[in-house]
Amino acid sequence: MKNKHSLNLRWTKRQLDMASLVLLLVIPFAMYVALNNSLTNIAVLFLIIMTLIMLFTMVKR
Amino acid sequence: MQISPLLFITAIIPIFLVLILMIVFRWGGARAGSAGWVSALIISTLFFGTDLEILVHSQAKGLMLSLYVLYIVWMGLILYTIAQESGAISQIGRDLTKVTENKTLQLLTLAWVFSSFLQGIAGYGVPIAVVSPLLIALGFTPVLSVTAVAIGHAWSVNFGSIAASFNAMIAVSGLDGRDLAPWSGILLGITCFLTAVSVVIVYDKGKSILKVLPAIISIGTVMSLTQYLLANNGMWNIAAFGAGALGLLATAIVSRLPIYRTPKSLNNQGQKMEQEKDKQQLSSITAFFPYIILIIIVITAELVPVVHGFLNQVKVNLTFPETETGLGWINPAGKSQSISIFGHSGALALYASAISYFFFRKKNLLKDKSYKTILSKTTSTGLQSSLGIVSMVGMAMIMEQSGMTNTIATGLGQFTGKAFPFISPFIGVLGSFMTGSNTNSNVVFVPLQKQIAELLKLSVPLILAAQTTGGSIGGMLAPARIIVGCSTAGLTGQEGQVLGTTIKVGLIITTIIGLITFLFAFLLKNVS
Repeated sequence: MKNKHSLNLRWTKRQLDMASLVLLLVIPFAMYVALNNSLTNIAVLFLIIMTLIMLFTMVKR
Repeated sequence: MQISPLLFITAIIPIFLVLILMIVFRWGGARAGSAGWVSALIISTLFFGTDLEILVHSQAKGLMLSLYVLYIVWMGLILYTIAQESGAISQIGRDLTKVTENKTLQLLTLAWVFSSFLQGIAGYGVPIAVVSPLLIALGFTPVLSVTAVAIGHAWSVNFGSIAASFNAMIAVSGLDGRDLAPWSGILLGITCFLTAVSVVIVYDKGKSILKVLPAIISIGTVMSLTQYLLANNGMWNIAAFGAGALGLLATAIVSRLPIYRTPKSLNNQGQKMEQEKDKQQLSSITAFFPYIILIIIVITAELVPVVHGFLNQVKVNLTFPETETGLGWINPAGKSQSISIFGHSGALALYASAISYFFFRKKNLLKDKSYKTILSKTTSTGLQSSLGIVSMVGMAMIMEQSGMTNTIATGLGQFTGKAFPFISPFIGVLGSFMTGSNTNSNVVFVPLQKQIAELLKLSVPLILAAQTTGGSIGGMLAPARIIVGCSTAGLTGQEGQVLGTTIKVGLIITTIIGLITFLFAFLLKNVS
């Protein structure tokens, strides 16, 4: 039971890492496209999300 | 632009924060990089007048640079995992113990000579990703394995990867390569010996230095002289490759000397017994197959013009307009880092991986559907290090685009005055530390170094040689590069341990190079 629990936790961490990495690679490009199309508010929103991911990576490890 | 001490200190905060978190608090690269990224974002916005446009562009440029690096990291990891799963890595370890029984010479052969040879042909992170696991297989500790390779190949970075960093220096400075080559060859030649001695000191605090000194002197002379002569004769593109190849040849000869084939240590006896226990399943050629194929592919792709042209037809990059910060720092319009989809070092490692996979499958050394295990192991190793690389590169790009990096460099030049030749290699180190790349360090700082050298009436080729030598050395203490090594050595999250040693060694070597540059600058000024 204990092993099963820790296995689940490891898997969740790996999924989180994968999600963080994908977002950190996608968001800069999305910001670039948004800014080039004068969608400033969207770019700001993406920058805030990126900051939150960085803070999450910093705290949740 | 006059830099105030307060602005200088503010600009340097993210770097110190990352260093303290990694070395003192032992944070992993991903955590420390994220903290550095957030601090750089806040400081650049509050004190350097960075607006949304600059921040977005910095992250888009960082994305391209990260992808460039991650391409190599992931493909290098796949190649290594295939070799490991097939049993090739263990066999390579056993084979290399047969070259010489002397442990220090084994370490030097791999961490100093073989890694420099790989740096000569392959790009960013390949030597550290490939050689560290081999050292672990030989029985060296993971921390030592990463540290030794990070230090050992630092001297060959400038002329390595088909002289990418040196060519960047030529392009940015507008000077002739033949004018820049002699001083670069001299300073990097001295660094070659210093890195070898440092590897031995890191290994056993220098206890075996006298025993391996003849090997260091003979192999080091062959490598540094070859690099100097090739670069000086216009063949800088193959200077590090030629030096590494002849270095391997010299090592093969030196390791046959009686002093390196005498008393076997207890450790070696233990290894021998282990060897006898394990039945040899692979021949040496089979074990080295992935790396032989990689070397053949890289040499063909880089040195055969037709193949090089064919593979580099598809390149991806982003374009950016000119931007200006509130403090007047201008980022000229231009393109981001280009990624050649099929000709990139990562792509070449992928070809080698595919060929190796089918080769080992045909030899029944890999089980059916073993690709699932390979991909799973690669993912678990690569994820953490990738997060670290992305955050570190993102931080470096904010600092570069907001003028923070330039503020630090200009401040160093401004506060040091006549002692500038001593500081010059430290600026090169700073560039590599920030970006993990000597090429990027040269692109960012060569114009600044050239400008200061002209103002102070110093020899421009000497100062630029000090810059690129510092850039080469800086690779050993760049967190982004250390993360690559730690990921393949199973040290993810413990990068601080390695960085703690490489930063000491890197700063000592840079200080020596700084003093030599200062001395040469003094002599040149007084002679002329």
